[in-house]
Amino acid sequence: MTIPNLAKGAKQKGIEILGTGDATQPDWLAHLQKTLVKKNGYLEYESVVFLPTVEFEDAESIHHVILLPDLESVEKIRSLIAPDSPNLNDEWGGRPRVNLNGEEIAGHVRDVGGLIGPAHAFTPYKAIFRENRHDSLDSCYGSETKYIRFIELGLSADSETADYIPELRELTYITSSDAHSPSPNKLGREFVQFEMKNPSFDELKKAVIREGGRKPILNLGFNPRLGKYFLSFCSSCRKTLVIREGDTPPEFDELNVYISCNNDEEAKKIIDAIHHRKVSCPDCGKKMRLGVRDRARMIGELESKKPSHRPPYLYIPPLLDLISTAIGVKSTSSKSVRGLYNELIQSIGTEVHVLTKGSIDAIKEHNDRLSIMIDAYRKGEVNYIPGGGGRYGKIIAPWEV
Amino acid sequence: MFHATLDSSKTWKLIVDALATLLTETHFVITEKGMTLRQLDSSKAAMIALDLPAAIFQEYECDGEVEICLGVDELTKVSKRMAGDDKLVFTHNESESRFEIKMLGQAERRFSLQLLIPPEERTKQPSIKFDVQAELFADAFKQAVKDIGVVSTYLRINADDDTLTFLGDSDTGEAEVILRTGEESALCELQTKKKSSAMYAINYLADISKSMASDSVIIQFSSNKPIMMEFSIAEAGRISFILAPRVERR
Repeated sequence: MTIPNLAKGAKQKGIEILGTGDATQPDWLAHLQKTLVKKNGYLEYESVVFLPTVEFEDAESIHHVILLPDLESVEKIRSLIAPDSPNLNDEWGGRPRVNLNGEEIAGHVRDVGGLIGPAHAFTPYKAIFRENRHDSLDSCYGSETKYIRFIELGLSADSETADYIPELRELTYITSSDAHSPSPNKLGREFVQFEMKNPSFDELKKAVIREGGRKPILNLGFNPRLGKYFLSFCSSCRKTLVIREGDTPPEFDELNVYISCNNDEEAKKIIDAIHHRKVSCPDCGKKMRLGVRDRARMIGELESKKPSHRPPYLYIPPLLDLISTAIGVKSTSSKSVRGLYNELIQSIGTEVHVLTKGSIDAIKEHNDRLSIMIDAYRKGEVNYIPGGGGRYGKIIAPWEV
Repeated sequence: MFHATLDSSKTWKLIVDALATLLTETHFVITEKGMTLRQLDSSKAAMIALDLPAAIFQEYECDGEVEICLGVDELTKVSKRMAGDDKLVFTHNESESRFEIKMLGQAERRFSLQLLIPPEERTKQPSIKFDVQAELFADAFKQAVKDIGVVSTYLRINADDDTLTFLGDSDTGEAEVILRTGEESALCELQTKKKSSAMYAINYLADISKSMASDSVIIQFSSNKPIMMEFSIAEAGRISFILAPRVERR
């Protein structure tokens, strides 16, 4: 992974600002200093703007996303955390361990003019809201809580999931993804579109805190219902829990356990009982565990309430994945998949444009099934089998319904 | 105030074993008429109901209504310490929030268990209508569960006018146990409103069948609906279980 490769991938994809990731790792920082050019107040490489970003792992093994204004602030935060970070200068120290709590780390980030928020806030591991960790931002960030202006949703959650929790509704939700390769199905799998005047850090900060007309206008990402830990699940046989309305008798099938509740209070009791390891799977008898959605409902309310500032959330996979499904070829690196991808990019526009705005008729000219899929995704009409218990969810292709 | 004695520790052990198949906490409601328990598993997917009339105890005194809530693990550990010929004495120590179990045998042993806070609401027995009611020898039921368990983790029960069939299958093979009504049959009675078929998890059925000390068991079920198994305990007492079915949707 190099900045030139990332810039190339970002241009093809249609991404204008890219987080550098791992900004405090010395080798990567040296590469950033060498390759990025400061132009008009922001760091650029061939017209793609790069923003220094890094994840820290705190003393409770919680991950935090940090956005920094420039490379000088990266140096400053490196010196602030150096006494408490055993692996800051390691080859694999891209996400340094910092033996401080969330409040102390957030204080350092504020001192260098950056922004901080919980990373992949709902995953069952290394996240602020994982079970038996924090139930609120305040218990993690203490006096710094008022400066926390965003959370990163992660693959396990979407805006609807986070909006079960009243204290989060004021915050901006970031959909972003680690890019372990500049390939178009890895880079920018999730992204946010912001309304801003220029790609500077100051403008981005205003957009995150929604000031002066700057704001997020679209979250695009993975549908967490397809994630492995969305629904509550049996820790042994991996059946997932589906809570239904009404009073039909309980039952289970190959994938799910179905329990009916007459009202929200009953549903909340079941969720609480799962949290306290009191619910047994009616199939194998082992204890059930909370999934991401039910964990959010347990911390917050049973109803997800969308605030007026919340932008739409578009669930749509990378274009290469859609093409491979549409033409029935498994490998996204196959010639036929890449060929159609390049055709679309050349004739319609960047991948982001093809996915979000490109004419469906124009896509249809290249591939009928692909146009049906993209249209269904844009309209939120894609059917799926939810995931849970370590099992991925499954999309039902529109032509199979 | 509650005080009772029971001559048979074996009966008490069976009761505790039966409760432990489904519950993590037990919530007894004790009145002058006897001891009852109605509890849903927290998932609401299984229910257990126990009625122990005062008559099964040799001494029995209860003023008003007493709620005794105990952890199943603790209750099980204590019951494992009971010798076969121990006489049991149960006392509710209200002032210290304890439930005392005394074992009188070659020595006098006393266990005093901390009471848990009872749940706010009491479970009502769900009113489920069943299409099939069968009474059969408990031993025949136990054997059928074991037979099907050889090949499968689920037991399917089919019922028509005069036959009750237990079936199971898996990649390794199939098993079938057929009981027909008749004079020499282990199936004492079968009432079928309509042909029914339903499937249940065998591990639960195996645990429950282990706690059957009676000669016979009554099973009731409908197609793809819960099953209820009811049998007597200590002659005048009754215990029943309701279990969720496995359905096949896809």
